[in-house]
Amino acid sequence: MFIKSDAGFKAPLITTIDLACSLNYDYFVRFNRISSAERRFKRFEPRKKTMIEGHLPEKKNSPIIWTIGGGKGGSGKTFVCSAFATLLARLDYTVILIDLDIGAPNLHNFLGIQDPKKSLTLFFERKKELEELPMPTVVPNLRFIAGDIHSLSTEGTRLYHRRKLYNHIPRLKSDYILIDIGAGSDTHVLDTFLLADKKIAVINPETISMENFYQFIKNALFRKLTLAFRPYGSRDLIDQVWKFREHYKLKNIWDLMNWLKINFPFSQSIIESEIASFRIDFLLNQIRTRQDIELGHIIKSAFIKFLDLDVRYAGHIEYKTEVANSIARGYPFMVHYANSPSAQEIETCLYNLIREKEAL
Amino acid sequence: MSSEIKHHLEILELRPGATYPQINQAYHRLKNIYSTESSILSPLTKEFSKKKSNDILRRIEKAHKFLTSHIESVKTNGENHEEPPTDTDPEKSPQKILPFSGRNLRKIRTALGISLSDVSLETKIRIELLKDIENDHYDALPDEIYLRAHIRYLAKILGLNPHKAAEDYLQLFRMHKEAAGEKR
Repeated sequence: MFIKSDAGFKAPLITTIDLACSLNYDYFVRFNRISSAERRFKRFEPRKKTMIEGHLPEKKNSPIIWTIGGGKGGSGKTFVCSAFATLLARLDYTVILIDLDIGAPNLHNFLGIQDPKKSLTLFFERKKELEELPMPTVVPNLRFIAGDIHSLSTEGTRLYHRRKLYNHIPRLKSDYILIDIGAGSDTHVLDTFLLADKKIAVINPETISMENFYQFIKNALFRKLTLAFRPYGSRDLIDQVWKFREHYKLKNIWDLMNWLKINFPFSQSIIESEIASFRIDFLLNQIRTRQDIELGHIIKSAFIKFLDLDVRYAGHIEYKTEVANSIARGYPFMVHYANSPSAQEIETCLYNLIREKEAL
Repeated sequence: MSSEIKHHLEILELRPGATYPQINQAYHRLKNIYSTESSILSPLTKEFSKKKSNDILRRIEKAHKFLTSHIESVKTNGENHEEPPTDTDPEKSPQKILPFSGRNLRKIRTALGISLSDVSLETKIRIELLKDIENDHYDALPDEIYLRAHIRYLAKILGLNPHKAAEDYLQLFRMHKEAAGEKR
């Protein structure tokens, strides 16, 4: 189930990236005045080569955008996002990590940055361009744009701000852009989620998380359909039909889609193409038992059987105290615990996502 | 014909080339998921009518019935279909290897491509013990009562009849013990 390490018995080779990482880290430690006791607690860990190295995709001119969401708060979205970004950067891709958790940004803590000087607030206030915002981190190839930590009211992020942001994000120069979106499923969150080339959801093996995930998917699909109908001049069609759902005897979004297909034949092709392009990869975080791993397969099966959606199970990450420890201390996990079991599970998930595969 | 097979395999969430035990295993797994009211799926099931779950169950039943009858027909007629649904040749299929000695269990396991460590992870039986079972090292094995449970677990994973496998293996085990007793 894990990717087997090729260099399992040899001493890990230190690559140039690792070396640069380590030097950068020393500088970072001095700069941020981390105490010597803490420095001794954990040093930079060189990464062992694994199977993933042989299967990396080629770099493209335009950035590949991944968004990580999932509905429920505290499911580990931010952690997974930071871990993927660090890992991709250590695999020699340039990565920009954006914290778009409007209202509750905290991604900088996961990268060991205590007080970011630049943030999205400056972009929203038109003081800086988006290209000027990425700041360096411990990992050489990884740059980071902090969330709106400097704003005192989230009212400040209005619709035109967001539109501008969505236009500017694909113009950033990088191989990968990873976006951490917040919990919940308001329009802002959904629009950001739908922006991506790859939409990733992080869920926990609990009924509550599943409830939120289902709600999130329904809302995202509804939003996608609403946006798709706009160019056809039927902007409010879906909203209006759903508003009078009791009258039309519609129970859920699937009834709604069927109703639209029957009554407005032009909508059939739109709905079908939207459903076909709606693909979600999910991973299970904080699993505690072996039965929990199986839940991933059950969830996937149910989404396909009940809803006919393309949902894929990328893998699982076990609940480990070292993860909680590293978060509490503000250390970047994939730098300090690069070869731990959890890191390997994260690598497996990333491998599946890159290679468009699924968990076994 | 082949597209129909593919469709039914998709319902059972299997890839083309699935074996007979895999089909059985997938069928039981899916039936278990959709016939019991699993709490993790309650957000989904509560929004859809009971009819939808029954419909899914019926499709699973139908797919299983179709695939097993197809395999049976291939076996009895011995004819070569343009695309047989299974990779394993009926001669090699687990149902033909009898009785279930350790050596045969190993053959079945390797034919299915399951590693010992996977079995061990799933059943929580030590790898050394599994090796002893497969190599027919009867002296190293535990008492009958424990052994029966182990064999049943092992057979379940391999998609065999647990009862039959345990009976066969224990018969060999007893014969060996009796022979060893006489020698003394």
